[in-house]
Amino acid sequence: MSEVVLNTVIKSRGPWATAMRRLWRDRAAMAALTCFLIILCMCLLAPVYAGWSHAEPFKSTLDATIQINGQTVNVMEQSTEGLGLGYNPIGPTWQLGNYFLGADNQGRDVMSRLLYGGLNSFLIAGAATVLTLFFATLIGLAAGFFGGVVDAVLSRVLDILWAFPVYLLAISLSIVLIAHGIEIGPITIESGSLWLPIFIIGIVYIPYVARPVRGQVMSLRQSEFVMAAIGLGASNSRILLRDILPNVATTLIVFIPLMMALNMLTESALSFLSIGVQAPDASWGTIIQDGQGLLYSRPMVALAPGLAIVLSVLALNVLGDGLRDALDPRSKIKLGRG
Amino acid sequence: MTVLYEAKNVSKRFTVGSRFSATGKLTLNAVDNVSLSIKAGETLGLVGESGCGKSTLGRCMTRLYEISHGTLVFDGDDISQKSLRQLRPLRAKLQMVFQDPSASLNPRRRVGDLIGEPLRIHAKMNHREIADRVSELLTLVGLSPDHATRFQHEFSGGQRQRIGIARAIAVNPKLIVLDEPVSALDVSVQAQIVNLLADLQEKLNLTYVFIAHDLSVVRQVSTRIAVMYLGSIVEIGNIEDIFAKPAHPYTQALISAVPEPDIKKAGMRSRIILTGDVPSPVNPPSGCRFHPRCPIAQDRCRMERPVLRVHNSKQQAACHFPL
Repeated sequence: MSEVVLNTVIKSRGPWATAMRRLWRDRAAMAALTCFLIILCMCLLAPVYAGWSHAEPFKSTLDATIQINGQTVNVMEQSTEGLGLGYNPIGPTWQLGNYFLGADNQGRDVMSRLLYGGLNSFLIAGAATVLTLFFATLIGLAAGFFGGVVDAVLSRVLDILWAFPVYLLAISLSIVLIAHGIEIGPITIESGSLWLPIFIIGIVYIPYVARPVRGQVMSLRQSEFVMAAIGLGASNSRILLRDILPNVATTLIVFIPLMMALNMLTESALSFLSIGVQAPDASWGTIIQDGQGLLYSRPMVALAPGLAIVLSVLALNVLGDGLRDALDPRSKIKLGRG
Repeated sequence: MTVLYEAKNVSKRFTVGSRFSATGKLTLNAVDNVSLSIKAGETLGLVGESGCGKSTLGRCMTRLYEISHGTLVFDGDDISQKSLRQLRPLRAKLQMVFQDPSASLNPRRRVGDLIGEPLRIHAKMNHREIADRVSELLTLVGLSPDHATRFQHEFSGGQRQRIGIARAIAVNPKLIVLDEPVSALDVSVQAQIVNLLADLQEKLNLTYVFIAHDLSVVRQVSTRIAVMYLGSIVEIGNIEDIFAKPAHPYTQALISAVPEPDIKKAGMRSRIILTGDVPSPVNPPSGCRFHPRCPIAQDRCRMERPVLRVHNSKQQAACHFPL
C-alpha cells in the first residue's frame, strides 16, 4: 500500500480524546480541577513553608515568642478568663510565615500543620483510592467475566464486607489494628504508620467499586463484540485486556475523584477519632480535633482544616461529575448502594 | 462437491426462569434436532420468522453457544467435542459476521486494530505486515486504507458491516456464518453488501451460511435454502426447486409473502396469510409443530411429528401431506 497516503492521514479523534475535549470545555469541572490542584500544590509546598517560617509544625513550643509589629508576643498567653488557669494560644496574625492562622494548644503553627496535614490527607486518600480501584477491578473483572463459582465466592465476600456500615467497619478495624499494626505474611504495617489508615480505608470501599465494575463486565461479557472476539479465537486474557478493560476504564476513571473525596472524608473522620493519623503527625482530621477544645476562643484552628476539607471534597465531586459527563454522557454511575 | 460442514441432530436448549420463579424452571428448545450439511463453495440460506432459532443455530455452528446435543463436523474435525481452548486455532477457518455491526465492533478500538485482531491471534505477522494486510482488506471490502485509524462510530451502517466482513475474511476462512448481515441496513445498502459478499465468495472461495428472514435477499445469494420453523428445519433444498414448487405449506406461505415487483403477476398470485402466532418454543404443540397454523392440517398432523423426507425427488420437507 502507498506509504505516503498512510502517513499523511490525520488520526481521527478517539473516544478518549473526545472526552478530554469535552472535559476541557466543562467550566465547572475545570474550575474544580484548578481549585483542587491549587490546594494540592500548597500542601506539597508544606516543607518549604515550614522551613521558611521557622514555626514548628510538630513539636510543642509552649514558651516560644514571636515579633508582631515590633512587639514581642508570647505564643501561649496566660488565660485571663475564669480562674486564670491554663494558656490561650495566639490567634491568627494574618502575617504569612508568622503564625498566619495562629497556634494550637501546643503552640504549634496551625498554618504549617494545615499544609502538612493536607499532605497526609491527600496521600492517604490517594493511596487508598489506588488500592481500592486495583482490587475492585481485579475482583470485578474476575467475577463478572468468569461468573459461576468464581462470581458466587467473590460476590459473597463482597456482601460480607458490604453488610457492615462503612464507618462502623473502618472504626472497628482501626481500633483493633491501631495498637499492634498488621502482620500478614511478608506485609508488616507498624501501628503508627500512615499505611494503616490507607489499608483500612482502601479495604472498606472495595465493594462499592467492585459491584458496579462486576455488573458492567457481566453486561460486556454478553455484548456482541465480546462474542465476536470469542468467534475470532481470542483468548480470555486478550478479551479481558483488549475488549473489556478499555470499556470499564471510563467507569474506573470516574471513580477516581469520587473515591478520593470519599476517602478524604473517611480519613478525617478516623483521624478526628484519633484512630487515623497518629500524633505528632497531622491530618485535617487531627487538626480539627486539636481545635475542638479551642472552638470558643480560637475557632480558626478547627475552621481552617474544616474549610480545606469542604473545598477539596467539593472540588473532587464536581470534577467527578464533569468526568462522568465527559466520558459517557449517557451513563449514570452513582456511588453507594443504588 | 465435498461436504465442508455437517451438523447432526443438533439441539440447543435454554433454561428459562429459576426454581424460584412462579412457573418454575422451563426448558426452551431453541434448536430442536437439526441436521444439515453444507458443501464447499455453496451458500446455504437459513430462513424463518424471528424466534425460530436460526440465529441460535448459527451461533451453535460456530460454538459461540454450547450445543445441548448432537455433533458438529467441520472440515473433517468433530468440533462439538473440542474444548473452547482447543477450538481457538480452528476458528481461523470458521468465521462469523453479526447482524448489528455497531454492536459487534468494539467502539473503543480503531478499525485497523479491529481488523488486525484475527491476524494477531492466528497469523504470525509483525506490525508492518499486519498494517499492510489491513490496508489490503479494507480495499477488498470497498473502503479506503486510511480508514484504519478511525473508529466505528465514524462510519455508516453499510461501511461498518464492510468492516465486520473485512475482519471475518482476514485470516482466509473456509466458512463464514453470516447472521442476518443485511437486515439492519437500508435496502439500497443491502444490495451493495450482498454484491460484495458475492464478489468475495468468488474471489476467496468462501462458503456461506446466510441467515436471514428476508426471502428476497436469500433468493439472491443462496444456492440452497433451509426453512426453519420453531427450532426445526421444515424444508431444505435447492433454491430454484423450492421457489418453483415449495413442498411444505409453511414455505409456501413464506414465499407468497415475498413482494412481487411486477404488478400484473402480483395481481394473479394468491397470498397465503397464516393465522395465529408462532407458538412458544417453551411449550411447543404436539405432532407437527406447524399444525395449529397450517391451512391443510389433519388429524395425523396433531398426533405424529413428520420427519424430513425427499419430495419431488429434489427437496426434503417435513410434512405428512406435502404440496
